[in-house]
Amino acid sequence: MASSPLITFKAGRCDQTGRSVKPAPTPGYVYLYLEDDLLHFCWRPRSSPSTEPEIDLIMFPGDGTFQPLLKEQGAEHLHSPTTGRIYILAFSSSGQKHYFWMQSKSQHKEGSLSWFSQRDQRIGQIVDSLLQGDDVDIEQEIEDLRNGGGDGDGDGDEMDVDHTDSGRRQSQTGGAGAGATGGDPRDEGESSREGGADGGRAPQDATTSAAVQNFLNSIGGSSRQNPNVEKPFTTLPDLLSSASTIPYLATATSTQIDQLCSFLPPELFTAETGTAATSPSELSTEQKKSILGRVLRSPQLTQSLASLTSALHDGGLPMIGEALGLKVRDGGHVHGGVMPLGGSRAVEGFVDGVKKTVEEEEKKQSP
Amino acid sequence: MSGGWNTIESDAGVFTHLIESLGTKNVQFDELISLDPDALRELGAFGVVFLFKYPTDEKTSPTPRDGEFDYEAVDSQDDDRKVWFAAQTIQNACGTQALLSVLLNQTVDENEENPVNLGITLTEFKDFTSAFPADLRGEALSNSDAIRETHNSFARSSPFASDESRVAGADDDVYHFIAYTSIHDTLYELDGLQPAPIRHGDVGACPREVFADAVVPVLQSRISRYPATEIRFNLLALCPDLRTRAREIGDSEMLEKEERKRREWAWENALRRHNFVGFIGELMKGVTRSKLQDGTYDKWIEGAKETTSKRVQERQRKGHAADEMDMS
Repeated sequence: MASSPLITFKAGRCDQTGRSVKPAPTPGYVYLYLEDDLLHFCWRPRSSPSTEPEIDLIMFPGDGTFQPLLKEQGAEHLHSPTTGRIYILAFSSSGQKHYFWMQSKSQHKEGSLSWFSQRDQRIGQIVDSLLQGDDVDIEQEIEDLRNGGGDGDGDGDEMDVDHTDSGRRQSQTGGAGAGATGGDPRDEGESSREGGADGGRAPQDATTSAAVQNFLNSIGGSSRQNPNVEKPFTTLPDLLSSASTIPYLATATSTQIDQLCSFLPPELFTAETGTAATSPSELSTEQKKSILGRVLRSPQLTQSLASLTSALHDGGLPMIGEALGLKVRDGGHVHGGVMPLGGSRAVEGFVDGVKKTVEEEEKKQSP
Repeated sequence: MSGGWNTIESDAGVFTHLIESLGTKNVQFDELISLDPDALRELGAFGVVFLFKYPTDEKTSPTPRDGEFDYEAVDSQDDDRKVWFAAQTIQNACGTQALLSVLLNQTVDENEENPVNLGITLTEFKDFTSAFPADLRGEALSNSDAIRETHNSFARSSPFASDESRVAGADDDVYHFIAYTSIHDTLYELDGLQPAPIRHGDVGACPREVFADAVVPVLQSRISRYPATEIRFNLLALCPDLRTRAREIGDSEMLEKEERKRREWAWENALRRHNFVGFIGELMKGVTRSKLQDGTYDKWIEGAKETTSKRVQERQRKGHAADEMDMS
């Protein structure tokens, strides 16, 4: 990329399969830049540099439009028919369409996820003007955006921007790249990261789980709007403390003991006896119980329990539930949606999933 | 840009396995429970790795709090003068960096019966970097695939990269490893965040035999700079392989003790590297089944919720944010 972007804003791609359009959770940026008099419309994940766009479309003036997906055209308040703010990039020459969803925090007073704020609309208008080949005074426009979206009707946008930005810069992932002008992505509701204990994460840690978390917070169910007042459930280290697991070990059958042992590294069983030749099957149930007891009390297991709890918080329930063959309700997603559960509700979903799985197994065994 | 470095624990078993995996022989790490010169001398320690809470509010200054910067030693090509010192470029690598700072500065004495044997990987790395300035050495360390892969094999096994880094971030960000060792009969502090090695005492005043007595007052002075409530430090000594020593002097009791220690390390290392997800799933099912059978399921869940909320309240009282509650 030869020149710095004209405008950069937080947005995600959408995957299209047939007639269905599904927002992809990856945090990203849409940005436009000019090179050799050609306008490029690009999208990149936030973890990639601006020189490596995943989508790079050369736009001929007048060929493309960038319009919000609206429930009702011309209404006083513009709302999307979905639970997110979608923009459509459409090519008049080919009829091809690309969908993008705004990943900045909703500026709506009640957090309505479908409401296009003045700023959202203005960003769209700037992009659309650029696509038409209009001469846009970008610097002035950006200045207006920073000053509260140019609406001036005192609906609180301005406050929101200032407020959400405070003290959150250290957890910023990526950035618009060196020399980026305009649409400073940091001004776009960094508090969308306020969910699952995410503060202070180092920049290089923008991984799938973080993406999922952002996704949840951006367009997720309304119950996730304020995670700080979310009712805490519990954690796996608290559920599976040695006070619960050691008594279970005492009553477990030898089949159950063997099953547990099969999930441990085999070295544990040879290291215990000091003879390299011993295989786990040659140990007595009592010896195995003693090894399991040490594992259950080990700090390494406690750490893994804490990691797994964090992974559940960060949207890992569908993946974990499937890996463990658990009957997790709605596959670990928000009821009726495609987003994974997050926070304490995901831990609750995990615990309930285990209970249901166990109950069904018991039913099968007892005639 | 180099690949990622995960954090590893400050543990004698981890560090020993780390250097042995790199091919180093005849040396090991051992944990020191107290700042006792006798204990250090007993081990025959020739260096220590000191982990401490990093004082983020401490300003960098042109002169160290104790001792003096020895800029010449870094660039010197004189074999009797030069110190292998690398600037720290990667936070998570600092444990490995500290142990290399001790190890790569040990001169091999041919007359010794069991001299430190660096092994091919580290010998090559030392030769490769010997002419580099400190910052380039740090880069070279960050970019060494062999060293990074060995280092990373000790990071906690987790299929979830992000929570791994978060756990590490919360635990380790404020901790720092530095090394102290005797080089050319002089006591040096090697801290990759400082511009140069720090010399404590006069040149030639600290032959290896008096290292234990020389380093303890320096460490004490360092620790005394922190408030008494802040002393969270860990001290690992680099010393000759204690099993070899036990064999040499025919101390079967000591040999058995050291062999047992090695077995425990192997055990803990196996757990550190293990992915527990499957085990946790099975354990969770088993405990759930037994709680359902004896009718204490609800009580169990409620009990755990209570423990969690108590801890959350406790943290809030101590001024932690509520959203940290998912950490154990």
